[in-house]
Amino acid sequence: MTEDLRALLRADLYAERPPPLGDVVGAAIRDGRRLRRKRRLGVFGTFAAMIALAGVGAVVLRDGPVAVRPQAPAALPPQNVPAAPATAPMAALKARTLTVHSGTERADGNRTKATSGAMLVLMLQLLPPGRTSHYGVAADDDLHVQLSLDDGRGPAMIRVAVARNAPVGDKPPGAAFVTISEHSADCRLGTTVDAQWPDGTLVEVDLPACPGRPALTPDEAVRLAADPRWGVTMAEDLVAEGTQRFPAVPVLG
Amino acid sequence: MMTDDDEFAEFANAHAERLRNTAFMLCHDWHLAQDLTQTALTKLFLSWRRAVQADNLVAYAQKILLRVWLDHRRRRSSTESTPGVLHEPAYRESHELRLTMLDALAQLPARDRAIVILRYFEDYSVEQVADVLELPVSIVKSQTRRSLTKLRELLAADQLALFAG
Repeated sequence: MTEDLRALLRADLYAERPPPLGDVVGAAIRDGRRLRRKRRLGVFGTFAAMIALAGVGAVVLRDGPVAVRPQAPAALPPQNVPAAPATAPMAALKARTLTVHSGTERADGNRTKATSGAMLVLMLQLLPPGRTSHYGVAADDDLHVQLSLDDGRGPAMIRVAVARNAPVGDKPPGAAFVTISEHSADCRLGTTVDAQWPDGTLVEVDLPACPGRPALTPDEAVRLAADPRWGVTMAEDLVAEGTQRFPAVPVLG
Repeated sequence: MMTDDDEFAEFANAHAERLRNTAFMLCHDWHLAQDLTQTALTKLFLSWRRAVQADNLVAYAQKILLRVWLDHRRRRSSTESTPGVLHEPAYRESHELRLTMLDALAQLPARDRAIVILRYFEDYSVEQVADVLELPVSIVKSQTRRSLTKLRELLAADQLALFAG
């Protein structure tokens, strides 16, 4: 009898036409890493405390506030400028995923092991104008940084993490596969934008939506996440500038 | 040398399809099955170092999946009715519409459905089912008997003949 039952179960399953499995494993890994980092950093409490302190203007971190300069695409080598965000219509951002072509798989030039300081430098280059503060980096060797951006509407947190997965073979070179996720049920998660590169580099931008609103618009977040200069190795000049400008940044956790 | 994340990815890629099939057998909804599988894999990722110490990693993953599904059922239970009987009498009376095993399974309570699927779809032993669902072996045995009786009652005549054989 049990064999018949097994046969019936399998026959029913085989009669189904399952949809493609999709990137369920990649999505699980991205979510898992995000949750792991949040656990490790105790991020919710830290974020709430920072906002509360920012409200009374009582925090002065070692690095102090930094004015973000407007992006100057002309200053970058042409191959380093992500082309699609500048031309992609907003309608494209309504999709859950999009492909951002950079014209190069990785930025040119000598690269060395990335540092939190280099990540902060690159963030400041890519963010829209505003006053930044509350820099923080993860402990250990985690490439995970955060800062608060105030564009005149109040401070809001931005976090960027970089990791390296196994190379992805089925994606076109010179393009990042970007996923925009809205966590409407939990404002602490807000919006996340993941950029996956063919070489396995994964850039995650987290934009909590409370209190207030996400620090960046979706197209700004895509532009930040899909810049080809992110990586577990980064340009030597970025690393050198990071060492100079951010010799010591508060460690979160 | 493979990292923990690499090992997880290798395992997950090898078993995601099977997990989704199990999830589909439980919920009879491919989209929900996909969500349940992703949630289960995320939880497995977070507990990977502990998971790899398990005797049977696949069973460990199935255990997480079942808990995710049972949690999902519990969350829904306050807003949706639990199917205890066939919703449309005509469905059972029509010879044109055959009740499939999946339809019949859907009439079982969530835990009983899980027992049947683990026992007869995943080929788990009674002891393994008891371990995955954290139930006494005696409960698994008795619920299995009741579930099979219920399935016999529900299934259409052509499939009932298979049972009798």
